[in-house]
Amino acid sequence: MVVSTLFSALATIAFAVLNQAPRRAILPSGVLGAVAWLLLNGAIKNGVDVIAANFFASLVVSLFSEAFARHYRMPVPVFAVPGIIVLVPGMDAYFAMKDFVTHHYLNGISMATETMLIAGAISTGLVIAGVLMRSIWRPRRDDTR
Amino acid sequence: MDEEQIWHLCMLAGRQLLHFGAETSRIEETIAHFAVSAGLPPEHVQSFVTPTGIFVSLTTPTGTTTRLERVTGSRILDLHKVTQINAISRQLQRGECSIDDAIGLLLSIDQAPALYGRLVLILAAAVSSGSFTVILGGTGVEFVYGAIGGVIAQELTRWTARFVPRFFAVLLASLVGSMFAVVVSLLGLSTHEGMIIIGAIMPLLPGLAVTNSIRDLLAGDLLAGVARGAEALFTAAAIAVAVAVAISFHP
Repeated sequence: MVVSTLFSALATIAFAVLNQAPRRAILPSGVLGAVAWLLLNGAIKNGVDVIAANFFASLVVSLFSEAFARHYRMPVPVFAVPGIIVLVPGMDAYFAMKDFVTHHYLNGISMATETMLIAGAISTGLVIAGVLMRSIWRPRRDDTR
Repeated sequence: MDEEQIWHLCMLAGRQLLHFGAETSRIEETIAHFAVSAGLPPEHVQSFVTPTGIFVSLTTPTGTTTRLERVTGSRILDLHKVTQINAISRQLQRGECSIDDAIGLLLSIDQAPALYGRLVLILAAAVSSGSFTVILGGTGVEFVYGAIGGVIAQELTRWTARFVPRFFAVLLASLVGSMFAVVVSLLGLSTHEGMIIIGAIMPLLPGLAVTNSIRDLLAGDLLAGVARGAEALFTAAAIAVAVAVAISFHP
């Protein structure tokens, strides 16, 4: 658990670098990656459904991204993009594809459905965090709309 | 205030932000902020940004003019430069720099090399891909092969994106990256083919497209949001198909 948390921070930091994130944003994104991983696995270990766990982790990470963005005065995607990357359901998608090419279509469809639902849960987390922040934290200047 | 200069500033900032991967609402707001800082009243500035073009309409004492700038060519995602342009917009608003300074700064951002050079990016691709295999339960062996696969995928996309649409470059790179993983497991070097594949395709995931699409839709930029969502879906589908083709050689 400790090792995988460290590596999820490392993966997040490296992904931030791949997106040319500003230097000051690198460490905070690494922390977000570790938090995402801890929340996801902590929730799953405590019997939370995998889809709900992904939603929860994504929501918390997105809220932190919004807060970090305001604190560091940087665009939100600088933190949100690397932050949610460890949640991406890669293994599920892989198993779905594996089932399809071995003609186990029913298993494949159920795996693919789960992958889609997890992806939907992650984006819902982003959406809700965005809406909350937009309504609570009014922009200081709003002269365009 | 020289009208041509305001146009130059607005279009330059808009084109750069779109190019480096900013959200649509940020681009529209920045254009408006620049024009307002240049002395135009807010109600005389309108902008409409889509992923492939920028429309700006300014009302000056000489009348209302609308200009269109088509933005084509592959996008280079660079969040550092988006942040820098954002900071210029804020400085200009607080009156800490002039329009001329702002144009100079924007041009220098355009010319500046990326924050992280090629070698750092290769290292980052290796680390992110390798680390992902470990997160999924891999060991040192998977880390090394995942890292190699990630570097192959990242560098291949970089190289092929110059000649073909990015979508096709991603398809090709994820195919080669997953083939590498399949060959590794065929040679018996590792039994965790899946982890290496997921690691290898890591640098290709359309994370920014997904995030921007959602943020565009939330901000009410429906056209841009749907367009970017389609981009993300196509990229994800391309990766999935490439992986499916690769693993069909070794089901």
